[in-house]
Amino acid sequence: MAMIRGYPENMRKSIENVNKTRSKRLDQIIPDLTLAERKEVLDGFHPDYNPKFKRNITWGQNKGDNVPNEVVDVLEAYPMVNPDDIDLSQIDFDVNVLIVGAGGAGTSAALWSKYAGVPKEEILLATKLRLGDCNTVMAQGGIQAADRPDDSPIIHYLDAIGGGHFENNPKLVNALVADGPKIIKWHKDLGMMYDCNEDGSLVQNPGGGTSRNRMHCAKDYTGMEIFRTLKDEIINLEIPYLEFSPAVELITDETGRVAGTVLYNIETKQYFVVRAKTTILTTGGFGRLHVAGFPTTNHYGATMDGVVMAYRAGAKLRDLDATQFHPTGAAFPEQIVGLLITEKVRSLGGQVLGKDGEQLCYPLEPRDVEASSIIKCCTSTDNYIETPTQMRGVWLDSPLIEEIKGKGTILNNLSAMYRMMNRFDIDITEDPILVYPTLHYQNGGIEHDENCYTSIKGLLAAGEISGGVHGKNRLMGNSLLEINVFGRRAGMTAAKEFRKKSTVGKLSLTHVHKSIKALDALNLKDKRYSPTILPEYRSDAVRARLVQLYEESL
Amino acid sequence: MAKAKPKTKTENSTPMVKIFIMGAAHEVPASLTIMKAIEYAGFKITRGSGCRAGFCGACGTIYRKEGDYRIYAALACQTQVEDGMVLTQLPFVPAPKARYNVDELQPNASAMLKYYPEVARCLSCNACSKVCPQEIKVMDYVQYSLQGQIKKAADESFDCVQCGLCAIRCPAEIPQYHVGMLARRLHGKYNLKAPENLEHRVKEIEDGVYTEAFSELMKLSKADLKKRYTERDFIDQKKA
Amino acid sequence: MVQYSYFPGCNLKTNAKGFEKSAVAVSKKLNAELVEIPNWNCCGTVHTMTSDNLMKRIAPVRVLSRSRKHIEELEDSPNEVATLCSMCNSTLKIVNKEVKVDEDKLSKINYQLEEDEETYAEDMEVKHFLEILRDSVGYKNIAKKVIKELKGIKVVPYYGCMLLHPEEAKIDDEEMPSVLEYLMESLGAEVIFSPLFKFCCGSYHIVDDETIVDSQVSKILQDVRVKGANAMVVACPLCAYNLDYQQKKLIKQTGEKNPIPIFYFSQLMAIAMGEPIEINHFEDHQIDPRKLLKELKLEG
Repeated sequence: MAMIRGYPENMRKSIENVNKTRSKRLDQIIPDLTLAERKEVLDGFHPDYNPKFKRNITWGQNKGDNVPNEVVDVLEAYPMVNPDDIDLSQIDFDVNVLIVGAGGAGTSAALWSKYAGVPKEEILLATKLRLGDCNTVMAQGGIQAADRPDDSPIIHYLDAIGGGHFENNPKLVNALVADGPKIIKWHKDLGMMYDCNEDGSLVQNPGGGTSRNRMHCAKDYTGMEIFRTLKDEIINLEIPYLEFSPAVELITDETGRVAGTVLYNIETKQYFVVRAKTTILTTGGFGRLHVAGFPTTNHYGATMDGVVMAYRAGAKLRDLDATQFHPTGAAFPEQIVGLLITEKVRSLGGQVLGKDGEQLCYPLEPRDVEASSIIKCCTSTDNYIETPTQMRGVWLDSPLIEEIKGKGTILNNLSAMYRMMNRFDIDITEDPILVYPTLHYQNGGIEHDENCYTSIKGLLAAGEISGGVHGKNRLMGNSLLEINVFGRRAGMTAAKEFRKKSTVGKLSLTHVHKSIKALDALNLKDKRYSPTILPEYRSDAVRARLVQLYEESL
Repeated sequence: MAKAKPKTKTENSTPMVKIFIMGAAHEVPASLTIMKAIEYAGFKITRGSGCRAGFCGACGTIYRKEGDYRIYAALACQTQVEDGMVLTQLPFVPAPKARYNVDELQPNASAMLKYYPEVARCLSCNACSKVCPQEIKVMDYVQYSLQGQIKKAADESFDCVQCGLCAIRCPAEIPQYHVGMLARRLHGKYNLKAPENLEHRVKEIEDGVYTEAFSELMKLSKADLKKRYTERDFIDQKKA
Repeated sequence: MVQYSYFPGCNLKTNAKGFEKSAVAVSKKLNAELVEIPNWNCCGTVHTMTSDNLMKRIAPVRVLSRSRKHIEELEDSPNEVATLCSMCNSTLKIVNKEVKVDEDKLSKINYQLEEDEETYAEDMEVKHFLEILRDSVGYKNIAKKVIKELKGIKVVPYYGCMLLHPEEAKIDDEEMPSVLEYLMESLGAEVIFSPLFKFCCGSYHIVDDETIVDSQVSKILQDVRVKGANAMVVACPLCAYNLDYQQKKLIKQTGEKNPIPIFYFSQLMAIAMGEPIEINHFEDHQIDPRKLLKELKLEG
C-alpha cells in the first residue's frame, strides 16, 4: 500500500474532493436541525436508541431500567472479593473524608475539603492508577462558564438542559452554571494558563449546542492544564494519597450508611480497610467497558467501578440508558482509532464532510445529534471513506481552520491534535482528519443532590460517576465544569459533615452478602465478577494459556 | 531450544515484527502501538498505562534499535512498533516536587532558584530536549527559568505531559518537568490576570442577581422550557 | 542599521535589568543595535572551567553556534556576538579561543551538538559592548549623540578583574586601561583615577564569606571618597552588586555620610543621550543614583 504523506493512495482521491470544495465552503452554512429532525436522526442511528445494544437491569434499586448490555454485565456480577476474606476488625486508615478516585472531581473534592477546614491528616485520596490517570487530563476542547457581559448563567442553563433533552435535574444544572465563573476565578488564582486575547480577556470559543461562545481553553490541553495544577496543589498542601489502590467494595455499618471502603493494592495484592465518616465517590465513567462494541477516548481505568460498588450498597442510579458517543474519534490510522479529535476542531471552524467533499451537517449540533448524523452517513449511504482496514469514516476539514483564522492557528490552538497526527505522518494543516464516533462519556450514573448527597447516608458522589447534571446528553465543556463544581461542593459538604458530632457504627459488608444473595436468585448463565478494575487487552493466545498458582508456592 | 508457537488468526493474516520487551523477544503485529504490543505479548499493564492517548505521561518508554547506538524515547501509546526495537517502560521517575505557595511568590528567577536551585547546574547539554516525546525544547525552558524569563519558560514548557524522561537523562539532575510546572503557575497567576468581567460576574452571582430568574426557569413546564430553548438567540456564531 | 547578535547572560535579566535596557537603548542611537539571541543558554561561567572538562564547554560553544545562526536573521551583522556581562564575556572569549586552536576539542564538542544541528564552525568573535563602542562606533560618534553633558559627575572608572584578565579575555591594556575613561570623557563627565581600578571586589565570596567582600569594597570606596569623586562606573554586574549592596550595609554599620552611587557605563550614556530615566531601573540600586542626578539637574 503506497502511502502519501500519511494517507494511502485511494483515500487521497477523496482528499482531492475536499481540497476542491474548500473555497466554496468557506461561507457555506448548513442549517442545524429542528427538535423533530434531531429526534428522527437519533431514533434511526444513535446506539442509545437501538434495542439490540441494551437490556433490563434485573435486580436492585434500578431493576427494570433499560441500559447498555455492558452496564448490566457489571451490575449482574459477583463481587471480586469474597466478603468473608476481609478482616474488618483491623482498620488500616481511619479518616474523616475518604475520596475514591483521583481525577478532576476527586482532587477538587480533596482540595475543597481542606480549604473548608478538614485537616489534611483527616483526608485520604485513593486511586486506581496514578494521581491523575483520569479522563480529565485528556479533555481537550474546553470548559464552559458564562462570564462574558453578553452571556449569562441563564443562557448557559438553557443550552445545557436543551442539550440534555430536558431530562436533567434542574437543581444540578442550576448549580453547574451558577458556579461556573467561580471555578474559572479559582483556576486563575491558582495560576492556570487559560488562553487570553491580546487585550487580556479570556479566549472563548463556541461548542456544540451552545448559543454563546463560552468555551474557555488552554490550547487543546485544557484538561491537562487544569489537572496538573490541581495535582500540584494536592502535593503542596500535603494531602495524603494512595496510588494503585482502587476501592473494590464499600463498607457499611449496621444502619446501612456508608462507613468507608476496602481498597486493594493492585501491585502487592493486599487489601486495606479504610474507615471514613464521609466517602466521596469520584471514580468516573464506563468508557473502557466498550459499550456497543465501540472504541473509546477514555483512560485505562474507566470501568465504572464506583457505580457498581454504590449499587451494591443500595444507591439509586439514573440516566444510564444514555451513552455519549463523541462525534469525532480518530478513524485513521489504525494505531489511534477511537482516540479523541477534539470538538474544538469544529469550534474553530472545521466542517464535517462526506467522500464527495460536501458538508454532511451543521458542525456544532449537540454531540448525540452530530454523532448520529455521521453514523447515518457511514451506514445508510455510500458517501463514507473506507480505510485499508475497512474502518468507515468521514472527513473533518481541519485545513479550513487556517483559511478562516489564519496560518498558525492550528499549531497555537490544536498543538496536541497536530502532534498526535504528525506522529503518523499526517499534517492536519494540509490534510483533513478521518473521523467516526467513539465512546466518550457516561451521561448517567449515581443520583445526587446539589450538595452531592446520594440516596445513602455517608456517601457523596461527584463527576462522571453521577447522573442528572447532563440529562440524556452532555454538551462539550460541561464535564470539566462539572468535575470542578461538584468536586468542590462534595469537598465542602464533607467539611460540613466533619464538623457534625455523629460517628459511624460497626463496620460490615452485610450489603455485599445481600447482593450475593440477590445475584444467586437470578441463576445467571455466566458467572461474572466486578468491579472490573482494568480491561483485558492481552491476546487470545496468551489468555488461553493462563494458569493460577497458589500464592504460597511462590 | 526450539519453541512451538501457537498459531493464531492474526499471525497468519497480518505482517508481524520482532521486538524485545525488557530483553525478551516477542512477535507482534506490525500495526500495533508499543503499548498494545506489550499487551499482545501477554503483559497486563498496571504501571505504564494511563490515558492511552498521549496526555498523561504514564507510558514513557525508551528503546534502542538494532545497529544504532542512540537511545530513543517515546510514549508507548502513541508510537508504532518497529522491527528490532529493544524497549522498556519507565513509568515512574523519582524526582521530588518542591512544596510552595504561589500566593507568596513573584514571577522571577529568585522564585525558580529558591525551589529548584539545581537549575543553575544546567550544562546546556540538551539531553532533555532530545529525549522529550513531546519534542519540547526542555533545555531552553530550563534556561529561561534560570534567567527569570517566566513567560518564555511557561510557553515553551506548556505541552509537557510530565512523563519525567527528561529528569532521568539530565546530568545536572534537574527535575525539569517540575520546574516547568512552577514557571507556568507563576505566569498564569501573575502575568495572565483574571479579567474584570469575570470578577464582576462572580459578584453578580454571589449577590443573587440571577436567583429569581433561575427559580422562574425551574417552574416552567417542559413545553414552555422547550419553547424558551428553541427561541434562544445565537449571537456569536453564524447560524442558518 | 548595523545589528549585533547580543548575548545577555542571566544577570542582565535579573539584578542588572537597568544595565541591559540602557545599553540596548543607546545601541540603537549609535547604529550598533544589540538584538537578543532568542534562545540563549547560560554562558557556562558557573561551571568550573578546568581545561579537560569538555562537557562544561558545551554551553559556551552552543551559545557561539546559536549566535552564528541568529546573525542570519540580522541586518549588516558582523560575525560577532556582543556581550555586556564581563563574566560571560570572559567565558565565551576563553572558550572560543580554546576551540579555535584545538581542533580535537572542538570536534568532540561538535559531536555532541551535531544532533541538535548546532555545530560550531569557529567563525565567530566575542566582543564586549565596550569594544564595539571603542572600535566600531568610536568616541567621536558617541560624543555627537550627547544632548546633555554629564557636568558635575566626578566618576572613578572601575574595571574589576574580568575585563582585564586573563590574557585571552581582556578587552584593554591590563595596566593602563582607557576605554571607560575615554567613554566617560566623551559624555562630558570628569574622570578621576583610582589606583584600585582593578582591585578585586570580592567576587563570588559574596555567597560564602561576606566579610571578604566587605573588606575589599570598603577599601575601594575609601579611595574613591578620598579622591573626591561622587560616582563610580562599572561594567560588571557582580562588581556592581558587591559595591552597591555591600556599601549600603557598610554605611549602616559605620554611619558614613557620603554614599557613592554605582553606575553601569550604559546608564550614564543613556542619561547623556536623553533616554527616559526609567530604563535605568535605578529603583533596583541600593545607593539611589537619582539623588546625585537631581542635585546636578541631570535627572529629567
